[in-house]
Amino acid sequence: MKFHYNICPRNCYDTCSIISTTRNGVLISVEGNPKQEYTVGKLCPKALDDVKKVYSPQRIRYPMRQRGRYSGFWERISWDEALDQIAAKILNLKEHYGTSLPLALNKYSGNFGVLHNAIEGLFTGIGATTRAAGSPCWSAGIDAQTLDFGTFFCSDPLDMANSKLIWLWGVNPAWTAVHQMPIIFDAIDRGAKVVCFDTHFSATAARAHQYIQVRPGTDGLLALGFAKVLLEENLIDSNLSSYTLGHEEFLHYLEAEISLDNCSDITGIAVSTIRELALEYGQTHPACIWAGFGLQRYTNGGQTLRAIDALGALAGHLGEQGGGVQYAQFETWRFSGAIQNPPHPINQTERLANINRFSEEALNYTDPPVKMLWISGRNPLSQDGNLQQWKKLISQLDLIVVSDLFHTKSSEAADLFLPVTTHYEHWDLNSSYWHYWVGANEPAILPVGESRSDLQIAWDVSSRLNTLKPGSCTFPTSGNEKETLLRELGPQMLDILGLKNPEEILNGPVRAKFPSTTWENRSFTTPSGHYEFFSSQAATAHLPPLPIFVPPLNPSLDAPLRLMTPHHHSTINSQVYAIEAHSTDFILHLAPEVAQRYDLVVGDRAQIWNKSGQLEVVIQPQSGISKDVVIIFQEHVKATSPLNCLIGTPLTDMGQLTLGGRGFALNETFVNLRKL
Amino acid sequence: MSKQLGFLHNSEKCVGCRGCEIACKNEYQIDAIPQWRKVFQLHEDDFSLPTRMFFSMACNHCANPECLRVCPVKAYTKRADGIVIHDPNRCIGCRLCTMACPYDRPQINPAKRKVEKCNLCYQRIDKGEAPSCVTACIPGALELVEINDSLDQKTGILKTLPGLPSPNITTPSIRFIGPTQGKQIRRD
Repeated sequence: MKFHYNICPRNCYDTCSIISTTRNGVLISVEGNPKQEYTVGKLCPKALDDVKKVYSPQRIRYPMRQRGRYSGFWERISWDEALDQIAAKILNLKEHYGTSLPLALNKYSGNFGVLHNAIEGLFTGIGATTRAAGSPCWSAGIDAQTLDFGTFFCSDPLDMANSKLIWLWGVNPAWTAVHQMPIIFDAIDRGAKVVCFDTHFSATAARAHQYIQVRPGTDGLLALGFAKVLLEENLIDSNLSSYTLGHEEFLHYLEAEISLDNCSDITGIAVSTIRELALEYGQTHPACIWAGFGLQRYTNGGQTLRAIDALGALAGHLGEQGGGVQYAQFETWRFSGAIQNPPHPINQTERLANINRFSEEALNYTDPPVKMLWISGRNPLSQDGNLQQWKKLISQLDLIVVSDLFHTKSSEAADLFLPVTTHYEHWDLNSSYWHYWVGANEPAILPVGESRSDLQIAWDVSSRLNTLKPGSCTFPTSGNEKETLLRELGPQMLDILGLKNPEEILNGPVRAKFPSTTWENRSFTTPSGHYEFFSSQAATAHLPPLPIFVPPLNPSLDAPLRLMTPHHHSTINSQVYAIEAHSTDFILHLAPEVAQRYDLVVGDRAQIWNKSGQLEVVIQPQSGISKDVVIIFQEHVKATSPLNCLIGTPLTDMGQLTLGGRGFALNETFVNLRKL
Repeated sequence: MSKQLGFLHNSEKCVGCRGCEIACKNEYQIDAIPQWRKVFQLHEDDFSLPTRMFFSMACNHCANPECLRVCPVKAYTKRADGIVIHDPNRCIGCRLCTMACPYDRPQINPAKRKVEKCNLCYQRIDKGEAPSCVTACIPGALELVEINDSLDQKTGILKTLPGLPSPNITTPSIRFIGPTQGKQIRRD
């Protein structure tokens, strides 16, 4: 038996360290690495099911070509045939258009390992191409925290155990960051109070001392209401002028513009509750807010997070051990970037298309048009909005390549399927955007079937390009995965990890040498060096300089119900674990009163629709959901119609500054409902 | 009274992640069906306020196991430490035990046409290790305990949860720390 270090590469807060066991070259078990202090030897069911996933009969083991998109007639081909077709198409397009801009890449976080950026490196090596830019996930919040603090940097999540008051705001760790739950339970055992703010009563809310149901998209106003109470009750940090900028302007805004009655009307929270909660937050030290990604997926998401940051600052909770406003971090991701930055072959800039409006923006590019698309680590046809535009884009493309483990909604439209390796079959390097641990992932088994790592595929394509036309791609044509990994640990990253040489990362996961509490010395990385209530950077970007309330979108008569599509405990977006889907339909959770209004009882079939599309659902009344909201969890179901047929492409207010594209305001989706 | 091992389940800490289910499957390489251990959601009708509460249940290794009583081929035995063992070599798949168990925990394996169930990882316990479900539980909601009077006298230890069959039928070796409901401020 042999043991191997692996890291779960899913786009998840927890990024667990794994020890896998192999016998005679076969993966037989996976368990958590007890030495990593966040995973503490435990894995969630998604990772625990990895052995089945690796050897799943559904996994694609050979390169495949589809005879006619959506036909399902896939035939096995050799890697040589696949690489020839890809390389010939690339060279053909370059020659025909005199530029590589017709090549488009749509890649994100299907596997968050650093070596998966090889595909970006390959495209850079080919020339200027069309790229999906930004993030479908966290953009608005990142920009908000960047404006306020200078960057987004959360404390070590273990620091939350020191808190006396924990506000879980728009976050459901019971289902999306389960390793945080024992830390929260520890804090409770030590006497901490936990308050959960969410639009619906979640599994996390059920474990909090107090649950506050906020009207969707009004969290920012609620934060400003709390701030107003702090002002009225004189609970404002007396040192503000030493480390913040613009607090007078902000206080003036609160005084002039925020009325608690109005705040109560809009948020749905009684004035007495607002007062009570604000007093508790202002008087308890340390007090921590964890702001989730859900609350910023609105057209006003960035403002919401800025208002919550401002509340934390006003109360003096920033830099407090066990306090702060926690969102996420990217400080442990300071890799050298060597892999995605081969020498630029020609001096031409890339065309960027916002990942959340990729199909629309790619279609808008006509000179030259996008003719080839490579989809990697993504499933846009199951997750993106505006499927009609996607259909249009697909019909204009000469070649669609999907690299993945399994067939997906997106591969239904593909011409070529390239089978990739799992994290048990390749080298990689992984960081979390929540905890501080970084580690190398080593292969435990040989690639299953003929699957290849993204890095190997990138080398192979470059090699084929250079064989057909020498000098046509500057990305390396071969290499060693382990050495490529070690090159990602440059001097800055070694310093962050406290390592003398890159090889030390191979001895097991390492915690970055940051102090556990961020902003402890209250020295910020904004232009002023202060926490900025008033942000000139925001003003320059045509955003309000102060955190103010901007209303979210409202439902219309045609679509009176807000549709929320939160994560389910068994999935990460369209990534599921191997256990078969039980249900053949999406379940629509709604308040019993709403079900009654539409003459629906449990188990009834119904249709929800809006101008984007329509979906058949099964009704599940559930208390704890408000009357203007319906919920479909992103559950693994066998439904033929995807959930995103109802989704448009509303964008968040922020995201451009840091990520080059505004975020996805997914929660601004509205539907109508009728019984079938 | 002789020794009786069993489970202590904390419904306040169980978040319904189903890690225990998969850990059990991994330990014994069981197919998707049967499920030796299964996570159930408590019906919210049984509570005054909305709940999102779960409990995880495998064989309860009852003090008076009905499975053992009804089995015509003596496939069931009870160890000195109270673990109820099912012997697949004796099992004829008659399903009497699946009908007799009030908790529906002996499960028919359709492929093998025999019954299977949790044997409380006795081989791990004999080595001094905890059962795999207990080891896997992330929030620490599942414990291996000795069921005895001193446990039952502790405050907050429950013999059953709303919606479960009466413990008087088989005297199951499971105890619960029940869900507590926080204050819920909901808008209209």
